[in-house]
Amino acid sequence: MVTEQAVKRLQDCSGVVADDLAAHLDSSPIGAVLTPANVAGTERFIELGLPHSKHEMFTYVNTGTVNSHRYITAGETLPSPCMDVPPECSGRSIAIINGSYRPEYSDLTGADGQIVARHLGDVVANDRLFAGDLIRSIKNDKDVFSAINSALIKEGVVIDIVENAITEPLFIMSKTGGINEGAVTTPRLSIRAGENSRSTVIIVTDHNQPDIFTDSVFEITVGAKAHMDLYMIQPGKKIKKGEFSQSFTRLKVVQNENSYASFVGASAGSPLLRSSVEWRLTGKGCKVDYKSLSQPAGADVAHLFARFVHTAPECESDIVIRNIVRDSASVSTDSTVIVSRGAFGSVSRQLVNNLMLSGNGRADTKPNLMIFNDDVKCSHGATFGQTDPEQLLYLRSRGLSERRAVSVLTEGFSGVVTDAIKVPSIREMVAS
Amino acid sequence: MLEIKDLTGGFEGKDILKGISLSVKPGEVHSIMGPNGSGKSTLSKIVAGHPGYEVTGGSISYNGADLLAMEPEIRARKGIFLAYQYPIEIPGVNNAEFLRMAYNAKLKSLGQEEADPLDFDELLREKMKFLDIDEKFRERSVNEGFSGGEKKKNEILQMAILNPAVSILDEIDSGLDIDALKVVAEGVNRLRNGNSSLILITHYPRLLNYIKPDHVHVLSGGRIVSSGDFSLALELESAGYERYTAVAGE
Ligand SMILES: Nc1ncnc2c1ncn2[C@@H]1O[C@H](COP(=O)(O)OP(=O)(O)O)[C@@H](O)[C@H]1O
Ligand SMILES: [Mg+2]
Repeated sequence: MVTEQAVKRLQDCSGVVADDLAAHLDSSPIGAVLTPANVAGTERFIELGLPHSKHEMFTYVNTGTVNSHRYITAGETLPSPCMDVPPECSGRSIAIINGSYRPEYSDLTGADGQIVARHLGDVVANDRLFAGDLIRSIKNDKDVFSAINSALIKEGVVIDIVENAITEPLFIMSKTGGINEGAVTTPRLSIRAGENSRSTVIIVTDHNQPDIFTDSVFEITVGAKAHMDLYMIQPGKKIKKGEFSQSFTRLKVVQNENSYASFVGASAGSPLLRSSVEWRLTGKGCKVDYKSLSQPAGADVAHLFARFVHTAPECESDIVIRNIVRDSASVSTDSTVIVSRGAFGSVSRQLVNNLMLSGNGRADTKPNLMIFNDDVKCSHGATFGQTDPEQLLYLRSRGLSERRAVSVLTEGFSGVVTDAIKVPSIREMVAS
Repeated sequence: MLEIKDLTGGFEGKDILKGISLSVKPGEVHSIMGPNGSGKSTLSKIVAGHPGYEVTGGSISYNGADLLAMEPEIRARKGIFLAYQYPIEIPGVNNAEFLRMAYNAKLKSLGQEEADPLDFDELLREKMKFLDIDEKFRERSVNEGFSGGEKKKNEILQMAILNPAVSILDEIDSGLDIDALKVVAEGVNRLRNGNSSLILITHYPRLLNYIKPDHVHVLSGGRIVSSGDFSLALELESAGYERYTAVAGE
């Protein structure tokens, strides 16, 4: 039995993580539809090994806490989600609570049949192609936390936006709460935007719960000629001082030919937040506008690891990553644009800006370019600094107090990212 | 109302201004002319309160108070306005919103309530129309992507909104074509009243045909080397600054 073999191999590994994964796999019901995914994730976990700071992916992450965390999945207590669905998304909302898709709290009555949501298990059981792709994706994933998610998932949701659909914004809330401390939750979401569809997808991840580790995987495919505006928002924290939570998110996007995607990611900060992004431009002539804003404060740690891969000709990536660092928070950005041999005529701009609002904060930034052909136009750069003294004087010499001027400039700095959000209530939520 | 006495200062320990005295009375228009690098912008930034510039000697009094002791925002609220030679771009900050904040800061310092947003909107529209500024500049970020001339107009728009007592216009004419110059000059003239004063900093006498100064000063090498009336500007128009740069060279 593959399951038994995997359990055996895990038992040869040391550490609580391996023990917990083994226990999980061992207790999986025989023949469960997601067991092959669990096994593939486990194998991948064994291959990749637990992170340590020498792994390029984890240079800036304190891996101690993740390595000692228990990987026990959440119990079955599932509180009501009390979601505030923004008015623009009325009738189009999906609830994922503690990693489980909850149709009873979701509502697609306003989607006109153009958006369909199903349990991951149901899709895997009925769609061989999808099931095969899922296993392949797990086997190729370089992120060990993505592997751990795959090893543990019992659940997930697959959302289809049908071909040629023109949809109003879809709201997806992934929320943690009411579960035993020390647990891990593994939200798993796939979105497939059909050919020539136009969609706006808002994913809100609300995982600031004491001593909970949220390990999410979001996989998104943008079909040929499709247009998607994707917003990923992590709202302000509700966690008390001294409490700890960690949220890791793996975002994998694949764009097909002549598709367009705009992305805005905004996070308000969390004790330990890690985003790992793999964005693939795999069809000729596709374009992504990627913008992110991270605002850690207090003793927060925020880390972004991003890879933008141009594999097809004539694709364009425009990347703006902004961080605002307050108090003694630290932020790190490790982002690379990779242009493969066949990706002629690629255009890429990449800019990382760090605004340091205190003398105690820390920002590490590594924007990279890896180019494997000559016919490309790529630029990258990074800035660090406090509010610009000339801009500050300009505002003050129009009567704004220094404090006000700093806050206006800070808002302006983030506005460059948040203004790209086209859904007003989401833009306001992020700006406030 | 503005008394500058023996002012010396600059930055990084180097005095650019080497003893400037200037007295501006209510309603007067002064022009400060001079070759590039003579210290005109340095003077304007010291009056505005740029923290990067250091005053090493002398004084500036404004309506009897020590201007140099005031923070830049206090100077602004008390009626000092500098139209920058190089207006600063502030990406992400909405221009109309910025103007409204500036206007409200002024009202607040006068002990008045904030303006009703709709009233302010009307005020802004009216001033923009008068200065022939396209509506689209309301929604743009402050000065971002504005042409040289558009930036200058935006400075005068701020002046129009804030209605200052003393306005220093630093090379407001540079980058403007003749039509834009006329519009700007007309705008500035309209804003004048018996009590407000103007200091026009310019390299070229052209502007002074549209805004007539009462006093003309030539700044060279950090000193005012000559003062006179409008005829001094006309003389500069034909003879240039050579005579004065020679003096400054010492
Ligand atoms: N921020 C600055 N840093 C270094 N040098 C400066 C700076 N500002 C002005 N200067 C120098 O000070 C002198 C006076 O400059 P400025 O006041 O701008 O002259 P003007 O406005 O008359 O052309 C020049 O030599 C200029 O190069
Ligand atoms: Mg100058």
